[in-house]
Amino acid sequence: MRTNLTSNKTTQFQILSEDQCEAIYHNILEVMQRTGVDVYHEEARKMLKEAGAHVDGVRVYIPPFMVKEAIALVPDNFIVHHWDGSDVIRLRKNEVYPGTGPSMPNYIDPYTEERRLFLRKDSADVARVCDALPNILFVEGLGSISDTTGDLADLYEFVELITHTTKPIAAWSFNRQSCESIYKVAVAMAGGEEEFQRKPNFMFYMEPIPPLVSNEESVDKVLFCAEKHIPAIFTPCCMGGGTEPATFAGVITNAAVESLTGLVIAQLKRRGAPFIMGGVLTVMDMLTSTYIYGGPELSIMCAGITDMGKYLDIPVFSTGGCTDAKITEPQAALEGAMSNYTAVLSGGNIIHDTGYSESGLTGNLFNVVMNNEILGMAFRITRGVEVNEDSMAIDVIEQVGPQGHYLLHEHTDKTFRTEMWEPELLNRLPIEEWKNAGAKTLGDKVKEKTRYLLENHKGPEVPESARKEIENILQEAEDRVAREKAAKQER
Amino acid sequence: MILKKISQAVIEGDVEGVKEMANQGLEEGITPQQLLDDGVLAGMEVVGERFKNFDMYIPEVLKSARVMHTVMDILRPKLVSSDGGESSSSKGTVVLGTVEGDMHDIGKNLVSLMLEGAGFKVVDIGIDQSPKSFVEAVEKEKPQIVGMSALLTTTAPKIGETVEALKEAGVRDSVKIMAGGAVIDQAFVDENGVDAYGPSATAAMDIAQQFVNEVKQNAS
Repeated sequence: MRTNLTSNKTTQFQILSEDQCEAIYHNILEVMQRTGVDVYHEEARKMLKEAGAHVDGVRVYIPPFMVKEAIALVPDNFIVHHWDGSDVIRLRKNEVYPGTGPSMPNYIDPYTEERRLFLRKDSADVARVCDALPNILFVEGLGSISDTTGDLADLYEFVELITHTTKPIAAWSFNRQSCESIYKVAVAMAGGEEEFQRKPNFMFYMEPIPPLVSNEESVDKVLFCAEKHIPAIFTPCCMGGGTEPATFAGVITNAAVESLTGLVIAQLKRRGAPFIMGGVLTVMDMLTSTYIYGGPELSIMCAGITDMGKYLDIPVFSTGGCTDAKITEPQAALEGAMSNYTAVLSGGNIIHDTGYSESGLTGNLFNVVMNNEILGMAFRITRGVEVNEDSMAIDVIEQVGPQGHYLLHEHTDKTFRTEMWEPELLNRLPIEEWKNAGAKTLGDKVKEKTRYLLENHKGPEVPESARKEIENILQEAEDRVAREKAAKQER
Repeated sequence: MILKKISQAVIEGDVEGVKEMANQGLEEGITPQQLLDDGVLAGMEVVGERFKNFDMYIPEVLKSARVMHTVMDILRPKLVSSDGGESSSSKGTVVLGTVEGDMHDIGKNLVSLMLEGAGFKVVDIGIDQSPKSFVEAVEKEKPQIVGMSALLTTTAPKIGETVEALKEAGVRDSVKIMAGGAVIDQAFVDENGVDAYGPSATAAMDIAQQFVNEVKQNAS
């Protein structure tokens, strides 16, 4: 028995020191009070004013005490459930859950490998494949559906996702009406509103607009989420050097201000509303003006905003697994690996954007399957080195001694399966055997596995009652959109 | 000598230094047109070339454009007085805006800066602009080109609606229309009655240049 051992079991990683977090926090408070933010939402401005903010037109100046109150009220941990009750994800410090990203217009067809518009059936495919991948722990749809009623692409997507995987969905919508319909679908899957309130089964994603703007739709949605106790992800897509300062500390400051504006509004609406801060923090490529998804800037700044979330005890939405590459090629693997590994290591809670490709314009399911393997490796590294009497193996070393071997030792049999990580797709064969097996690259094997899962993994059984309710919700929404269209034409 | 210095100041983005150089050039008796053509525009040509070859960063290009405008401000009154017109100071007018419902504008701002850098007069009507506002801007400014920006799949259809509104107002044929933004592509503009799509700010600049050349050819 050893006493006074300082356990350091998992790998440690921090981008910002306590002092740096404090300095940036003070920066954030000053921006909110001195520079202010634009809030394009009358109800929200009224609430903010009554609570002590100074309001001038759409500009709102939020004093530090309001920000601190909101931070004190927001839960530092909460649970999102798989709708069938089989598992949960825990939003609390250093619990990491990687998953996919939302709503790109294009998709790499998993058979023809051509870039085409995203279809309704693709949403179901994405959900089924994610359902089968052990390291993808929540799901976003990878694409905006192009072949349903346009205004309801968000709702159809959510229906396809939640009925083809039990893993929690991070949903999005064009507006509050769709957000309400999506909530109804989630309630149907939970088996009633009361059940949903006890066991929420999805999160909702919305974006403020940098620099320092909360638009009407986003605020509408964050208010609805607060009211219904839906975990709200209120996070910006920052472009350092373009819509944000070029410096990392400047981007982190503005990103936090943009998220915390939503936090203050949410907590004013309902104390204790579950809320997640963070975002896609990256830079504009100064040669091409591309919004970069694969650069080191993204990883370092997402780790930075994660440290800020931990400092403030607020769960964090981080970014990883994305790429600027157009197809599944080495660049996609390199960029996905760097960002997912850094995000996992830094302890971001909901790590989104695996499968994001072509700088956010094309969903790529192959890259999701590839990143599942990358994440397995990342998880093994972050699990660290277990140091105890048994793992240090002093007696085993004594027993085997010089010139022996460990292959048959009971200790090896007992430990190697958890100590070592076995890849599913990476190649370790001797070259002759690799050639005989078709000389397949990682890309070849990723495509094979993706197609195998598409053809063989069915996803969960959805209760008939929920299915019927969902049909009704879709019909209601179609009727609403038709009515709105007719009214618009009359005008 | 001073012409070369001005070109260099444009390339290096020396806003302060160039004022003195321009005035010195005028004192030396170099004509405003020559200062413009062989000094400023010669420098901008190098800048454009370098930028296209990924040999110069966007903020540097924008700084060069600022140098150009600084010299133009000094030369403009003299250019007008010497030849009685200001045709050489502007290539044409572009009305630019982000469509209704969309509040994203970094792409539009970048296009605006690039077009100004290339010598266009840009009337930026801002974000969240209704088809009606575009029509009004066209009627008021009489531009050769209208540029529309949309980032979102939800707001992109407003581009088509704006084209329709321009048609209804009877001004569609008086302008060339270009569109851009993350979700816009060639197929989209083809379906929505837009004349051209640019995947980048540089492309937008080239398209605008091409439009103006076409207009000039048609006129001559």
